[in-house]
Amino acid sequence: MNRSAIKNLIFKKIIIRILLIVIAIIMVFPFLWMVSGAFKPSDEVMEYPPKIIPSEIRYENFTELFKEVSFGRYMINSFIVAGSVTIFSLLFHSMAGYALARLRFPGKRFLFIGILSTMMIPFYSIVIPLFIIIKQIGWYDTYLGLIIPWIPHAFGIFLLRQYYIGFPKELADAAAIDGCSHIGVFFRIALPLSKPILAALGVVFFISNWDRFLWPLIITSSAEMRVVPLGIVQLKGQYVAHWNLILAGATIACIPTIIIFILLQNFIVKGIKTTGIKQ
Amino acid sequence: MNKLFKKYKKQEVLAAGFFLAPDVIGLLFIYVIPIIFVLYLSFHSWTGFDPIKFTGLNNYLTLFKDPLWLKSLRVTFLYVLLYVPIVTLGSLGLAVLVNNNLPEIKLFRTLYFLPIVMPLVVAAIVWEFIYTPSYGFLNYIFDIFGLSKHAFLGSQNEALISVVIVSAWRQLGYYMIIFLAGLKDIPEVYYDASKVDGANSFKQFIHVTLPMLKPVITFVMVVNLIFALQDFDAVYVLTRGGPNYATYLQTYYIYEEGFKFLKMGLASSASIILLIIILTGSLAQLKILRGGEYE
Repeated sequence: MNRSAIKNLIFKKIIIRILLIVIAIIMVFPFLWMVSGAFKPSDEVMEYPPKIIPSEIRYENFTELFKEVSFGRYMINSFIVAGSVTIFSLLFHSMAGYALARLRFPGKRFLFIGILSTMMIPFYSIVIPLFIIIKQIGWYDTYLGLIIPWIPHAFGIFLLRQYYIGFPKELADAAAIDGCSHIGVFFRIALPLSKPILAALGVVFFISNWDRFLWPLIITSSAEMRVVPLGIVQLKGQYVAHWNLILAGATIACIPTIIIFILLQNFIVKGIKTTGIKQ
Repeated sequence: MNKLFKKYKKQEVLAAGFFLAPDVIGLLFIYVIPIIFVLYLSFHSWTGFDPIKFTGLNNYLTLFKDPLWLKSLRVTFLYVLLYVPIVTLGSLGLAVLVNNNLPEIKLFRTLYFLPIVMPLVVAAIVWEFIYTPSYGFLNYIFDIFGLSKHAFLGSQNEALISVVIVSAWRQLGYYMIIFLAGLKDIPEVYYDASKVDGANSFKQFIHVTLPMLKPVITFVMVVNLIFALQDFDAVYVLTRGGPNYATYLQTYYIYEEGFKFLKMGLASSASIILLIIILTGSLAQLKILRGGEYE
């Protein structure tokens, strides 16, 4: 390589690095700004020009918040809702996916197309009748009302069907020869062996259900049933312009998903690659 | 006849029924019955308390005469027009940028992905703080560069793009990962071949990368179109449809008519139209983008 080519290459690498860093700042800044604001005294958070680093670290923002707002309760609610949706989704979708992939029964094609076609129904077009139905059943302002509507999900069924189609047939056959029933084969062989894809899907399901806002907004009314996103918006209305407290709440609301992200980063990335879509 | 019965084993059929029952019953109650119900309601007038009254096409006629609904249609259209290209091109650009072998590149990928970890509602709140006209950080930056201060969410002209930026900021890293997976799937041979033909990296991108990524681009665009047509959370937190209905999306219209003014029939007919828009929009996009695909 001649000299100008090398120079060119170094120049290019520097440009790329600068670009990478500038974009990284844009992506990460809101996090830092949130945390910085969460520790500021209430007058400093509205100061102009803004201070990047708080002049004093005010932990009281958090303790005050926990005293005034039952954040613990919101967290538990969100865990119950997102956790239950995830667990039941994974179980039901792998059962349905397995049947569609490996079992022979009449009307299979028709059923599969029927399941897939529900994927075309956007949530906002059914939110009104769904609300009426759930209310009629008596699930208004209950965990069941928050959880049940998010379990059936055609895309999850489709993905697991694709997975079980590629599943080694010999394993199931061997188990069947040993006298295992179809249900036995599924629960003893297929399900335990699909742990990696279930983990990847599970993370995606959990995060997208942690995020839900509109449905909890209309289907719950009491403070005891409030989930985290709802609680944080409520908080914003309650502490208008008390940005340090609002941001402290926002910071707390991020912690669970950040922990999941740190622990399961590889699963998340794998989950996105296999699913390509959030609910 | 005998053959037909022999094709299926009783035990297998029973097992399939057991496996499929929970999800099929669920889909029936959560999707199929509601979609029939919403169609039925769209031809009726109902507040949720009094008896349901048949009104024929009245709801639809009301919609097309309602300036607010027409406005929300325009706003939604504009929102899609801003959001879909920003996210598609932005995430593709990020993917190309992080698809190199610098030693620290994994760190950047992680950082770009980070925003998706922030719940959308929280992201909206933090950005609202950043957008604050008087002491917000964005105006501080504008100030440093000698630009005039902006109202952002408070301005009729800037509110919509400000909301789009929040949603896009959060989604970019997610689709970056999908594009990155697509980029890694392109066989190196194609690049080598084009290099032999004397193509520079720009030409390689146009003639190798883009055609090979077409299925991924199609996927990302369709998914984002569907997402954009259904955005609600960010608008609810940031602007509540304002100022002066500048961010009044279709979903917000449905929410207000249905749950605030209890016009279930009218909101249902708006839901049906949103459904039609989403279906035709995504099918049209698929058709246009699928043209000339060699799969």
